[in-house]
Amino acid sequence: MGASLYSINMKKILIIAGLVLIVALLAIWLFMSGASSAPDGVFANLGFGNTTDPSVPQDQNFFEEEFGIDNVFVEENRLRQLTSTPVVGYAEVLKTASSTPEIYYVEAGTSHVYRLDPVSFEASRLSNTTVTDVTKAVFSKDGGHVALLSDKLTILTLPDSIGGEVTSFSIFDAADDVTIIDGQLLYLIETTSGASVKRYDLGTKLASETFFTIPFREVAIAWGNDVAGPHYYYPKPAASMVSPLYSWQTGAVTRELVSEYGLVGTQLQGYLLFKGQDSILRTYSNDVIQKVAINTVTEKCATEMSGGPLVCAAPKTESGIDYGSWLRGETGSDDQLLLVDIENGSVVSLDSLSNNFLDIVGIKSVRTGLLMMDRATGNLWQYNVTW
Amino acid sequence: MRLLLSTSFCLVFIAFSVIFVEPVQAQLPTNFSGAGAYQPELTFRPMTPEPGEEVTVKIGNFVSALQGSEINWTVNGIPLEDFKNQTEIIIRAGEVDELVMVTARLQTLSGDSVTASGEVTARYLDIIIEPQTHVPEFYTGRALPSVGSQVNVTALLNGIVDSQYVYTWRVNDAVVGNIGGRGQYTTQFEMPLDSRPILSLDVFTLTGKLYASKSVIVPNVQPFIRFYEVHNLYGLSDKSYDSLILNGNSATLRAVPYFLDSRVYNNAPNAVWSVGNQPVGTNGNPYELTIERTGETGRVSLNFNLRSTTALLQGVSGSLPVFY
Repeated sequence: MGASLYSINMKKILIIAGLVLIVALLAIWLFMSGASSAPDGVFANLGFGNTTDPSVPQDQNFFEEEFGIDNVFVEENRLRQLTSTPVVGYAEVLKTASSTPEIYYVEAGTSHVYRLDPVSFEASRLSNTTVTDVTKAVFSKDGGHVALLSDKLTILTLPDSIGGEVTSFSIFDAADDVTIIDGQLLYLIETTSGASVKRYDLGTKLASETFFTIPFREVAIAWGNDVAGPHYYYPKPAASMVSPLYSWQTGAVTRELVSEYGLVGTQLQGYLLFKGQDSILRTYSNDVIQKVAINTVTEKCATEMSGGPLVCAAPKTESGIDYGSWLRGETGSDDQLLLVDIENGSVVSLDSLSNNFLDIVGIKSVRTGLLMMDRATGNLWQYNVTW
Repeated sequence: MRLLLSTSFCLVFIAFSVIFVEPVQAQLPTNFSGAGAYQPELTFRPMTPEPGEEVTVKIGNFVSALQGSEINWTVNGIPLEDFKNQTEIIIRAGEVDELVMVTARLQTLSGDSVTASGEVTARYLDIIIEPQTHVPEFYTGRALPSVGSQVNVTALLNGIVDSQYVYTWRVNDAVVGNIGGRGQYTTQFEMPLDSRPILSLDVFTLTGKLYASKSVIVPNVQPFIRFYEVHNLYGLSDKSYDSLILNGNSATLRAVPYFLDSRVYNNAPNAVWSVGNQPVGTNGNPYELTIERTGETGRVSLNFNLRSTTALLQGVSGSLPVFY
């Protein structure tokens, strides 16, 4: 009997000791986890209101020393989501040389055109002309016209102010790509014997004319900044097939030095940025090819306005992008923003975008910073950096 | 005795032939001034290089009489001192349509001299392969060929098509159309069963001289399928689904075949959707299916299957788990 009482007391003591130990361990765990999670809790993006990036701004002198850029100024809270609906085109427009830059965009689905207030970023509708199935929209520099690409080309003439008259005109060509350069609409169409680039003058509004022809149909084109070219073109990319690069300039076709499996390229300030199957970005200009030490795709790059360093979105991890899978929409990319000096090959982080998951495409370097689209949602974003 | 004598005579004759006749033949081309049976010639590999490409130049027909010769090379008249006495050199082709003249001057041990010359012109010959298989509109890559699909090919000389030449296309050594064609810079063929068929092209001048040639491996892939949502407002989404969580009451899905022969895609033979194992009908577009929530939560598998009745390897199938 005594032995059993002793046994009961011992059990009580052991249970109490165990409970005390558990409580102590729980307190230690709470203390540790609380300490480590506190900063995240403060800055966590709960999805209410604007998405802001709390990371510390880059020091201005750092960019000057690394890239020789004057007046690079990165503001705090610099990442801003401009739309909550998908867009199919956007631009910063400047009505006159002395005007305040404004952001215009075309809403996906309806193709209604909106203008953002430069200060409040409030959207005002400039055009309520509905055009469906539009896959791409491009603006003229002054914002006077926007070309909408669907199974035809629709050109809207936009008013200077909200409520003004919008006129619409359609070109019944099924274009594959379109651009506006100096008041000229250039667009690519397939023909029975290949492809053609046609030109339509937005000023004279005369009938479209064939600008130049291409002897194959599966064309990708990297438009130049000048109507007279050079405009680079090549067979659409395929990892297992070679794409030679050609250019058209003032009536002359040139077979360029570049020939790559999976070639894809975009024309920036005076050079072509391209990559092949090896995923290494390169620049090409005047028969000179130069490597750029960054693993991303050309669709994620732009130059800053004065033609200085290259701004690219690239995956946060070093695994890179499986291009074919990315094109098919099977995978996305969780991007950061990088600044690349193509002269000396140095690459630095502009912003890690650590609290955001953005698959960035269509970067446009503008006076108000960077405009870009999240491929996953189609939403328009702005990154506030002054060059 | 007569037999012995005749046998001996034969043996002596054979020995005489072996010992004396061969040197007499070898001594024939002692005068190298003109082209003869032993005139050396230059061979170029590749014969039709691209601009800037390395070209190996070799002295061919290099008979024993030329052994030990002093060899002096010139390219466009400029001596190549570093390659003296070498029977093979590597040069670089010039710019587009630039002719490079190569000469090898040989001084034999017996003091005779002989000259071999040749020329090579650099030009681009590109073969553009355009498979006629299906990819969705948003896909900015090129379609790839699959077995039985039609493949269109176009030859570009220095970036343009040129009808002033004779084009001979081959797929795995079989001439396409059985004959080379004047101005036939474009043609088409049906993708064979090989996993890596070789497409080659020889371009000849109207005088029959080889102008340019190229061979490429044509990829051969199996068609496959991906599922995308079709929005009422935005149209076909460009994000594919591995699985679908049905948040609303309904969703329209499209089965999109990649690299399926366009003819098969357009006819959509035997296209069948099934939910679980039950075949379901579609309204209109055989590639689209609208699913609706009917009640409780659960999981169901959507399946799509399409198979050509004439080309057995042209078909796709896939399934998509849907959680609702």
